[in-house]
Amino acid sequence: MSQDTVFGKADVKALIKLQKADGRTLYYQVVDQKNIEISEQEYKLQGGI
Amino acid sequence: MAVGQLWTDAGQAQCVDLLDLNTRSGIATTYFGAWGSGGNTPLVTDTTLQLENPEARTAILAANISQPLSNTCRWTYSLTATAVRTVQETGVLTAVTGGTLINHIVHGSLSLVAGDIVTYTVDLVLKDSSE
Repeated sequence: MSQDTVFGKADVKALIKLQKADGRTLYYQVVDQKNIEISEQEYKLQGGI
Repeated sequence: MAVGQLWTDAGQAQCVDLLDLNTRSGIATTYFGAWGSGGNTPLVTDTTLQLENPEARTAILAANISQPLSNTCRWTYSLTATAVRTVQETGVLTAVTGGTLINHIVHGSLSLVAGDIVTYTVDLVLKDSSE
């Protein structure tokens, strides 16, 4: 979904990589204020590093 | 409108100022990633995070800013919890303190302990009305 702006429209997208101190790593895509867990592969496909 | 993920009015104004030769020299083009614990839906009028956490903002170097597409600016930054933290919002700002809030994202709550690292990848995608 897009945000109307003076320029036209804008999307702000966010990915999260959570590296826990215990060694686990979790990947999320942010959608409507929720964290949707995704795979590492999907995270990288969407541009996460 | 995407709920919870915004390009702020101040961020839009900064973009116009960068296009304007009369104002561009006065625009800060350093970027810092910040996080906080506020969980309210962000507003385009926001100029700060709701409840910024005490960890120092992370300087976002040029190597961590890219254009995966010609209409997209991508910032990547990591923050490390120095104690038990709740994290529920993030944003890119133009200074290590204060500064202009470019974007504001509220996400699901993360419960962190000291040493946990969160890496954010934030894309701003500009489109015309037909896209």
